[in-house]
Amino acid sequence: MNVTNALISRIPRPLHRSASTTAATASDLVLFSLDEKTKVATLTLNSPSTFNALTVEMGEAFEDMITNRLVPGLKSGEVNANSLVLCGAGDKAFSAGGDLKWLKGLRHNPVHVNADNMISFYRSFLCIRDLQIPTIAAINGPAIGAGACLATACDMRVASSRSKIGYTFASLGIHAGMGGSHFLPLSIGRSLANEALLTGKIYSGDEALEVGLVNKLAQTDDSAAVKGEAMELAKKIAQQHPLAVRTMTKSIRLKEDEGLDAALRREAYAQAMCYARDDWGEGIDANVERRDGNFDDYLSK
Amino acid sequence: TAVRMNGNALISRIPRAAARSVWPLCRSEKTKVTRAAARNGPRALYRSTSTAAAASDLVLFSLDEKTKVATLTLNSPSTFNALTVEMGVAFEEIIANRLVPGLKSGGIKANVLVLCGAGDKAFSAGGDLKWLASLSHNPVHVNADNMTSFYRSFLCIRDLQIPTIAAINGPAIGAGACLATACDMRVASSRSKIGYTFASLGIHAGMGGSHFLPLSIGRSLANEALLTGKIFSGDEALEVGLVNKLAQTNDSAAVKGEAMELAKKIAQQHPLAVRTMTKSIRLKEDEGLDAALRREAYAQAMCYARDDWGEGIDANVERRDPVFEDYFSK
Repeated sequence: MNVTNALISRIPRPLHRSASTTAATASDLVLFSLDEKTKVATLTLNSPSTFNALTVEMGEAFEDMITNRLVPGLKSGEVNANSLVLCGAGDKAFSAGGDLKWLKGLRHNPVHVNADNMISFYRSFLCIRDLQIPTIAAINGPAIGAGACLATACDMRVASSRSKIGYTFASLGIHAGMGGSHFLPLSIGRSLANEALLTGKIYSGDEALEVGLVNKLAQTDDSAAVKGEAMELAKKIAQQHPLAVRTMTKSIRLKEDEGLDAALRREAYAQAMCYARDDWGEGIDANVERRDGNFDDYLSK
Repeated sequence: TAVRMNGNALISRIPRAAARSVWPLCRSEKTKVTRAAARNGPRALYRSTSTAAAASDLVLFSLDEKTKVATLTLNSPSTFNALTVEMGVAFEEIIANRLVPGLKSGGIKANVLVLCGAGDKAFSAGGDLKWLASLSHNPVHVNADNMTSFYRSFLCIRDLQIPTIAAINGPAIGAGACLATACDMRVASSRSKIGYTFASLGIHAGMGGSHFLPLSIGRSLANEALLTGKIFSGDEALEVGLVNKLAQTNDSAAVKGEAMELAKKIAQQHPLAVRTMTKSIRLKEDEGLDAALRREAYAQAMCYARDDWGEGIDANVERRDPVFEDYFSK
């Protein structure tokens, strides 16, 4: 069929387990709702006790929702939505990114196993780009690491003045993942993206607006205000011609996705090499202990 | 040799071993030039008016072992660090034969590199104007080949495994602006001048400018800049995302200092994360670069063949508007 544009989702998932989720069932980790009146759908990353950290289980639930429910439903008309808002549950975070305990544990895997696992992990969330309708990330709290990258992979973003959008990978000791090395330069131009990726930068909401990373800031800093602002933008889109919107979304995605596969492979291979380092974990400890990282030199094991 | 397995050829084509014999453009042409000059024959194929004692002095390298920040300096302050063929030979030699191998082996312990101009009067004035004017004496295809080599001799900086920051410590014009633009990040000052002046001089952009400027500032503004021969001030460059930061004051030392601060920040991050990220960034940005360099070289070569080639340079020097012949003129 369309072999050159394979679905980002590659379900079924290989076997890997995270250690930290406390949700009752995997499917509760991602919630879906639809406002039939405004035709705005909402996807919620639902693990507020872990600041909506992106885990393998959450990824499975996410991919299942997208691939087995939303994409078919949007196609058949059963899911009568014209735009989608992605947000974090609770009012404390959009997403804290990859679960740090899980990430630290990856050192025990062979390098190539980590490389394969990481690609699957990225795709389990980036399959949001298979949705036929536009996506708006309501950054209703800190978005860090893979969490920031998932927000960046959405078509648009809304935040607040005091949001924190952090591409912290280099300071933690790893190459960027979750498509960050692909979507950030597309979003804010190469000079600033290169700096952000190479210095582990955390954007404030104000700066994110300035550089074009987010489309709009909510009037106040609370989670509800950000979600409300995202809703307003989603409603505006939902009122436009649905075929125009869906075909435009497809065009946008196709253009932006050129080179994405290669970028995800580079990210997965590079992250896998970083997990194999003896000093893997030092960056996480330094981050937790609020100090500078003390890394071994480049050629060290 | 220097060709990568995956079809993503190194920008530098110099083999790791002594490269002289493989680069006839620089070496044997110089011999021809000497013979031609001796016969009082036609204008030498290319000759720069650089006054540096030895070619290798044209590019200086230093490394701060403590901060792990390396510095490359374009060293011809008497010519405002103009980019000449000789300087390109020295530049490519340092990059390909010394820095890339040294970074790979660990002999050079650098995590990041700052590129700047020697002295405090310029980053780089770009291509040597006398040399450019003389290119009209060459066959078109020879110019096309020479220009591609000339670009690669500087753009090979993108083969470095570590991130590069251009400290635009003075005017950066033409190929000089493009070399700064090909770095991963840029620092300037409020009163910097970053000029993509090609169209007003009478040529297509070179040195990857047609590739890296749109990537850096978006198509609307890049197209305008390239098509109007625009010179950005530092303030405007910051506004449009061309530079990352402006130094507090306008002097060369302040710009270099600001670049150093950014470099140190990068040097403190995890070295494997930084190098793999740099590689990803370069691979992505370099898509289409080879084709862009070929287009630039062919187009510049056609421009050098015009009867009115040189009018733009004269007009620039005499601070007047140029008078170009129409499109179809010889």
